[in-house]
Amino acid sequence: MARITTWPWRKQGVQSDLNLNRYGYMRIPHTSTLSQARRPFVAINTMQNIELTKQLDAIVAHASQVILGKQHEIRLSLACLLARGHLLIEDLPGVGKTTLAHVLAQTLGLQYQRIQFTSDLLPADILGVSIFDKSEQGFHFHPGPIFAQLILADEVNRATPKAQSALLEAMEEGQVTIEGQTRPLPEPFFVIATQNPTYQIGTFPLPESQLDRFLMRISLGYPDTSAERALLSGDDRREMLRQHDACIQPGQLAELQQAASKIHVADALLDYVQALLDLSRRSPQFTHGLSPRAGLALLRGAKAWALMAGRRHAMPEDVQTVMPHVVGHRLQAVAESGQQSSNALLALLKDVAIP
Amino acid sequence: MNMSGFQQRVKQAKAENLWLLAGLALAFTPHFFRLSLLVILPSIILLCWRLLFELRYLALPSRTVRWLLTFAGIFATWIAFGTLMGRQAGVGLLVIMLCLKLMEMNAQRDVGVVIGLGFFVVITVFLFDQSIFMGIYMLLVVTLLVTALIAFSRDQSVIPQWANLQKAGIILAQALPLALLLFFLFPRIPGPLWSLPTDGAGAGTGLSDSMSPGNISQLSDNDSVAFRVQFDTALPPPQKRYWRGPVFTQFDGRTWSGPYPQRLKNHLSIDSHYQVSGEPSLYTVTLEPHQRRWLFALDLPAIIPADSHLSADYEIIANHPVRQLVRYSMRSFTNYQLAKNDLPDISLYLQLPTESGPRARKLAQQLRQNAADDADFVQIILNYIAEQPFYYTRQPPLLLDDPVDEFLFDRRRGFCEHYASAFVFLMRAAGVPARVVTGYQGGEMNPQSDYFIVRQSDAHAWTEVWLREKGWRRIDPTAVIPAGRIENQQDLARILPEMAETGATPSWLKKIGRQLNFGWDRINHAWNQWVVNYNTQRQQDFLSQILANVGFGNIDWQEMISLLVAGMTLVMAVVAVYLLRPWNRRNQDPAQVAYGRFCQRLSRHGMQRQPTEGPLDFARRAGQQYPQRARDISRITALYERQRYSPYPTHKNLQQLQHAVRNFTL
Repeated sequence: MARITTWPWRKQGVQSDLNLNRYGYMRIPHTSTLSQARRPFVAINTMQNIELTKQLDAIVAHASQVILGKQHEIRLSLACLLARGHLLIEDLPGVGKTTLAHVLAQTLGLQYQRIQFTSDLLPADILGVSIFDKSEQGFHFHPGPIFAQLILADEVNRATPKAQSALLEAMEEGQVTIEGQTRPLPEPFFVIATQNPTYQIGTFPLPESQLDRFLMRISLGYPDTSAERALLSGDDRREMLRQHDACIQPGQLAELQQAASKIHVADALLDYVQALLDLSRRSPQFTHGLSPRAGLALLRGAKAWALMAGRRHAMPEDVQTVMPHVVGHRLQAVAESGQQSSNALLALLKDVAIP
Repeated sequence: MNMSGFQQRVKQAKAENLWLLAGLALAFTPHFFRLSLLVILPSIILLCWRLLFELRYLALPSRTVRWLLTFAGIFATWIAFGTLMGRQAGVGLLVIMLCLKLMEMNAQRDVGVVIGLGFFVVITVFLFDQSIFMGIYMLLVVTLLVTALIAFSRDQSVIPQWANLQKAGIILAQALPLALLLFFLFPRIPGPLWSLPTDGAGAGTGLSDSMSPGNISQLSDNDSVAFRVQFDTALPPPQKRYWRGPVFTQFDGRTWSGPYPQRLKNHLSIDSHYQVSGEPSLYTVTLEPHQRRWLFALDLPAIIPADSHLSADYEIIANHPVRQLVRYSMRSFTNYQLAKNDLPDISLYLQLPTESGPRARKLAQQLRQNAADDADFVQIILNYIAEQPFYYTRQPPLLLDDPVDEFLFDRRRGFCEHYASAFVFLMRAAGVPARVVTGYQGGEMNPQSDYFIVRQSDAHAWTEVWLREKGWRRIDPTAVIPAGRIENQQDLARILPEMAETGATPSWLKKIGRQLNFGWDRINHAWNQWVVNYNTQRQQDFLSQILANVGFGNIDWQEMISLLVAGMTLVMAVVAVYLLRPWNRRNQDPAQVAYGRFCQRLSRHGMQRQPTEGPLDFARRAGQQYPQRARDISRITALYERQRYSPYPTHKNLQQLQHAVRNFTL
């Protein structure tokens, strides 16, 4: 068990080695990097977990320097990655979707590939193609951009359903089959797809069954005034990206993902998740309820969020935080109700007491 | 959109207003059959107007038009009823003004007012009709109004409308125990709360205050119930089942009528004229409203019910016309002797119109000379009727100039009133005091229950003859007609019950019909007993009977109120226990119980934890509210978190949590 000596808050006049109170609980101070985190108090964990949490905080802090004022969204996308899920970002062009993908790849030290989806994109453009090589007198496979650890599928709803399904199949299987030969995709494999709001012209909205492949859907939105000012007055983001280094060693991401999957889920929390699922199925506000897969996704998201908050167990708050993003694209509000799905979702949260 | 324009309009209309309009329209419907067209037409037009407004076909009228409409409505009511007071006019005004209110129903408050008035309209319907059908129908109306109320107070965008209807049904069902409790236990006020205005008198069915040929025979096809009787003692034998009603002494040659003004008799039972023998019959009569003042009792009544008096001819006369169901307990002696030695006002019972019935008078005097005494004379006349070809028929021929002579000598076909009339005429012509008695004879037991039904078709007329030393004797001249000369099977069954037994057995269809009829009557009887006529006396009896079983005596209204409060508390307690379900606590996580106690303590200081608020969020909020207690709050929350959500809850941890909660104060 390593002694922890490099905590930033130790400067704040805390004398003991561990900032433990007499009940064995450790207070993690409310620093600027943690302002969005729901973690006022953290039960003492194994040192390993604390180490991991620290790394995660560092990643978030790094990314926050590039993408200003979007810490919560950065944390969500990181949680999505930790939960081994894929991320869908739905927003207007120019709010930093691409930059977010880029900065994540960079800070996590992942291979990065960007695929710009257009209406004439073919599956082969994504997966790769075998080309006859004269010198070797044989076909030689040229892997497509899909063979990378972090894929940014930009404007995925611009492409035809055929091209979309090539990507989504890869997401689901973790491998691709080209010309009869199955090729595994690299580990970890993380897709960030961005999508323009579907009311824009020339789009093929993703069908519900394919939306289901994404663990979370987030939208970035405009930055607030101060963040925007900092953005406008600051350096070129592209330049900053280039200067960025990875925060973690290769292989540590897998460790983090492993830790996230091992976060404890108590029966009480399962009760809560089940109550939420149950209500979504009974509520007249939605065309159909949440699937069991959605329930699993909700738990995975909550566990990753709990890890990021430095806990070894998930709390109802974790579920509540990730739920709108995990469930939002899986539920459809009844058309005639005239309500936004997001409002109906909030109602869903408000209607289920924490058991 | 594949919906038609109309469907879309319906979909986009305010659901609560549509429910409300439906409820109001149904609530008005029974009134529409009673009120003047001057009120009905405008009301229907206004209702339709509002409906068209809801569907966005029409605009609502301007303020000026509304004022004009209001005055027009008041004026129309006044024209239609000649007054604005009273039951009909009041209801008319209520209906039309409520419809006018729809013209300015914009704000939430207005909707509340209209729904409230709608409930009031429901009450007014019962001023006219208290039948079981109306009760069920009005329950439907109330359900619709409650649905409107629910739709009105709920967020419309997300709740489907059938769910509102379902909710209304559930709410009403839940209200049922309390409603029953209030109904049975709330002290009844003796007498009606408000007396029904006189315009409620419709044409009543039943015996009238005079008797001329054809009066009673017109009732013979009327199967409606006159009254129902519950016997406490044994049923009297068929030949004693004479239900006494109006008695007539005056005859003008065609029509019999009572003495006017009615001579009253103030004392009963302590009357030297009235000698009884045998056991009395004890029974309770539930009399259907017949708009007149007679109460019916077995011949001869020994007591008089409250709020009534007795005439010199032993008629029981209510102080007010019977406009509502009346229930009274009676005691009668079927074996009696009345005015044995001395008959006051003897000339009353000998009166005859001077010019009518010369042939009858001659016959009477002739036969009287052959008779030894008055009793013998009675027998001779009865024999005369039995031996001469007299027929008992429901279609008696029209009697023109001198009904008595024509009946006795020419036609010889008649109904009971003909026989009674002719018999009394003959008696009086021979100097024997006699009078005509009308009422009901017979009746039948409801085989499915324990009460006796007397129908309008049982209406009958018979006679009473005064014999010296013997007093008044009941003589039923129709009873001596031989079976062969009775045309109608039903009459035969009534007059000669023993003959009817041998008649052909009715077909199975008829049997089933009869059974259904009896079953339905039984339901009606129960409704009358327990709902319509559940008055002070009935309440007393019912509650005392129940209480007697647990060893209490009579009950007064204070005790009723206490019982009511106790009952309501009990119902509420049952509901509360069900909602709180303390037995679930036992299955609850002890950490949860301790944490609940902690939250409760905070909520007492206004720091309420929302059910959806996670413990960490709550701790942060509470910590900000009570910074000096933040430490304890965070500690308890951390202990709870570890116990409930962490992988390693320990007993020690739980104890620490419980201890910390116990010591927690603000």
